[in-house]
Amino acid sequence: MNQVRKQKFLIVGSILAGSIVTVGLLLVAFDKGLNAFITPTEIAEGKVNGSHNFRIGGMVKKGSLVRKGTGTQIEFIATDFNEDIPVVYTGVLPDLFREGQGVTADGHMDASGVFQADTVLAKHDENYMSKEVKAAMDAAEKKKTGKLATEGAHP
Amino acid sequence: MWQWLYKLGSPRHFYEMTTGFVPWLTGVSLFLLIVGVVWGLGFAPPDYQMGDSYRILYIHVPTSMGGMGAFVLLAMMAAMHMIWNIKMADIVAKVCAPVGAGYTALGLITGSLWGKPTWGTYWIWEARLTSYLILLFLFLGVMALRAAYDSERSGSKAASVLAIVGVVNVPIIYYSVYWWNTLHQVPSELGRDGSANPPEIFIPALFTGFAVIGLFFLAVILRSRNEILYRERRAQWVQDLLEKELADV
Amino acid sequence: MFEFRFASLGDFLAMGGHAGFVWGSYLAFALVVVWNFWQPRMERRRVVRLLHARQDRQPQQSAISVAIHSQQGAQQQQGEAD
Repeated sequence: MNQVRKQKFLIVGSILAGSIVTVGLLLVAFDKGLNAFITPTEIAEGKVNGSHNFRIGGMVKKGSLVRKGTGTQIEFIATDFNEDIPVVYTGVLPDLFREGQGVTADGHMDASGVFQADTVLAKHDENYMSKEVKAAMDAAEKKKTGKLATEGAHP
Repeated sequence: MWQWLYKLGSPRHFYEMTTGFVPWLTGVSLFLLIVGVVWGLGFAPPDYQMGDSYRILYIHVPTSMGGMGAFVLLAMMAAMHMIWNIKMADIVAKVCAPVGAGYTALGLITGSLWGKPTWGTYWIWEARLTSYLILLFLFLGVMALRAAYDSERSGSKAASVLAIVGVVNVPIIYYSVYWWNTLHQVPSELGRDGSANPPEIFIPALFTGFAVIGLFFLAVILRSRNEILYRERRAQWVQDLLEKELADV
Repeated sequence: MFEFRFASLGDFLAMGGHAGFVWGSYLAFALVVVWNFWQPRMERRRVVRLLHARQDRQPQQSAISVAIHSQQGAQQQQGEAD
């Protein structure tokens, strides 16, 4: 490599290195601030104070979903398999909202430790399966245990 | 191999070598596209949770990844042009930007149309979606910088610097779903037992995936050829070409 | 594995109630694919016309004036292109 190329190589390298360092520092500084939601464990650890709005995320605990009134008012427990948070919500749910699936909810904690949600979004996992295969798996599960496996790709 | 690559670095050779390649690439890409789209829309089984809306992912995943790949190629070409002053690298860097921007916009649009029925919202400010939106702005920024200068050389230098700085965003997009809590899922593992992505769902994605890659390179080659003709307009071989093949376009 | 998954054309078009989302996505995709073919075609036509126009002018002038002229021309075209 001659002198000019070497110099240009250094310029390009330092532009790249400089931006990596800058962006890296920014990301470390923001850290948890870039998270889309807070987990039930983080709430239990007291990461949230006051009654301001935030977003929680977790799984809808199996068997915890209760529909009230005409069915638009729901209660469920959001869990990260470590801590549980009860959630209350009134309104339209996304198609994919169901027990055993990921969920996020915007809202605030009330005085009694119940999360009052204004918006509920379903989180899709990275698993895909055809309806036939799912039905076959449920049938096999039913045969084995005598009861229907609840929703979710990982039993 | 190296000689072949070296030849591609010359605009004239690039033009001459791609002349016969274009119809072939067009045919293969369109064939893969039609097979993938028909299979994905009509013959792949509905997902047990999402039903038919997951069929959007057959174009969402390849175009989104295509947008990221295009930016990496753009940055590599920009660096090559800055270091070795290769004319062809600057041409490819220039034409990469609009094609990549198109794919990135598609990734955002199709993702949004998938998100509404699946998540319950078109948009959410989380790490994956936001970093991907920044990718679109980076593409637009690179294009705007190049266009803002009167001299081709200055514009190309300014655009190159932004491309090299901006490429840092690509690994951030990729790892965002692992580094932070996001609503967006992580990529599926393939070929795992009790598969997360079984063959009857995955195979059409291979077709649309290669089709989207083929169409990307096709668009880059076609645009590059026009750029070559213009930039090399004083060269004898372009003059000859104008008299013969391009006499009545 | 190779069976059509919809009972009727109507079912196929309805996409399980997600017609707007699915067809909207594929339409957007189709537009970009078509644009990626159409833009280079039109651009090629434009560039070739431009170069033909330049070529017709050149032989009538002396070598020096051609050089000056083509420089000005290049700047003008640059301006037009912007």
